[in-house]
Amino acid sequence: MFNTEYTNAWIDRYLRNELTAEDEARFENALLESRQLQDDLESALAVRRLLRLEARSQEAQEDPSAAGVRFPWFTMALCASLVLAVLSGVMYWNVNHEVADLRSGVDDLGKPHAHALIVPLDIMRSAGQDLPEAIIHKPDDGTFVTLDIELSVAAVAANIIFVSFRDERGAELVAWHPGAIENGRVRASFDAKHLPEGRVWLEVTDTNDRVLDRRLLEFR
Amino acid sequence: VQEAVNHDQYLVERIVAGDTGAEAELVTRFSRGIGLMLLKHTDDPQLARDLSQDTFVIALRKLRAGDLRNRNCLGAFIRQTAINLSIQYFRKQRRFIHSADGIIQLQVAPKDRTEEKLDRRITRAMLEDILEQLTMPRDRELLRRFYLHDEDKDSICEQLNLSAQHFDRVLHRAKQRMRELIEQQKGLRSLLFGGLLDV
Repeated sequence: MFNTEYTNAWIDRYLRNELTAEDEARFENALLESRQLQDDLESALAVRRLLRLEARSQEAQEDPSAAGVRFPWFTMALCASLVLAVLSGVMYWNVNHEVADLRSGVDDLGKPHAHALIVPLDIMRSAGQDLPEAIIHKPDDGTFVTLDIELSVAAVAANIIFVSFRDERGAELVAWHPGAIENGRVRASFDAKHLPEGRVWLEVTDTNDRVLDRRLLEFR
Repeated sequence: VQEAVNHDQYLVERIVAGDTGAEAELVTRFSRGIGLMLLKHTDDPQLARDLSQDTFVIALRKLRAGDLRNRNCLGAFIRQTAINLSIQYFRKQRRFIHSADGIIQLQVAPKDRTEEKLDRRITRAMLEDILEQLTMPRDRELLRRFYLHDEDKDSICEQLNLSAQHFDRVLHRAKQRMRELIEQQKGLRSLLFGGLLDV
């Protein structure tokens, strides 16, 4: 079935989902046994992925926000989310001395931040239970750190969520109600000096305090 | 064929007997094919890699327990394990789609962030460079229509005023050239497949 004459046609039909279920199974069983077929499929997949990545890269260049260009509205949105994050934090801050820390954080808002850092926290599907999913090297004080958190499907479905950092014993360090969920992600901004230290749990809960997502992070 | 069947039976017997070398041999033998197959089904190298790892964990667990009755069908068994896992993954994703408003965007395929992890400008320059080496500018339109927009061959030939033979030649040449580029440029495979097929 898969001699050279027909291979290319079969591969293209396979990639375009044009094979019947039976033929697809026959093709894939042959694929597992044939190095030549694997090479040919890899070449076709590579051409397809090259075109896709190039098209996406072109789209990103045309879309300034995706390309990371800082336009005034972007800076304003970033500042607004910071203010919202801090204000939300106030609502969940219970102890007086923590309020003092927060005041100092709010004071910092008035100062210009020379550096801004966005840290994507993607879900690691294969991460172990007791190993940190991400190790975040804290930048110098004065740097503005935005955590861009990918949410689990359950968290996205919950719609209204709370996010918190907890120490390894489970004690709450800080909690906040994030802004809008966009593309399954939420953002929160911190001055680097207000980020926790060591291993902490990032916990996402719903309005009934049910844990929807729990991930171990390490700040160094 | 008989030799291959005997080899499969022997490989399974060694795995049942606890031979870790046989387990490594099984993974080495099937991982590239399974990776390619899962990439086709998921269009996401990271997800394909995760599912591929899970496939071998589950398959080896079953093989060790002697759960494969027909030892002549080792390849088909590994394939079916991978297919079941990817079906399970997408079914789990779908379960949430209609459960509430506002999460319709979950229906889109998992986003591939490969290009985001690299500097955009460098990535873009590399991609353009490879594309230039791959095919003549006049043939790129054909490749884009066929591979990117999934248009069918007949309509592309008609609109671009090409013969079917010319169409086949362009595709064949592009794939052949890609093969050469993958062999020559060490980082190209990683750039395109996010480490899924790194050897």
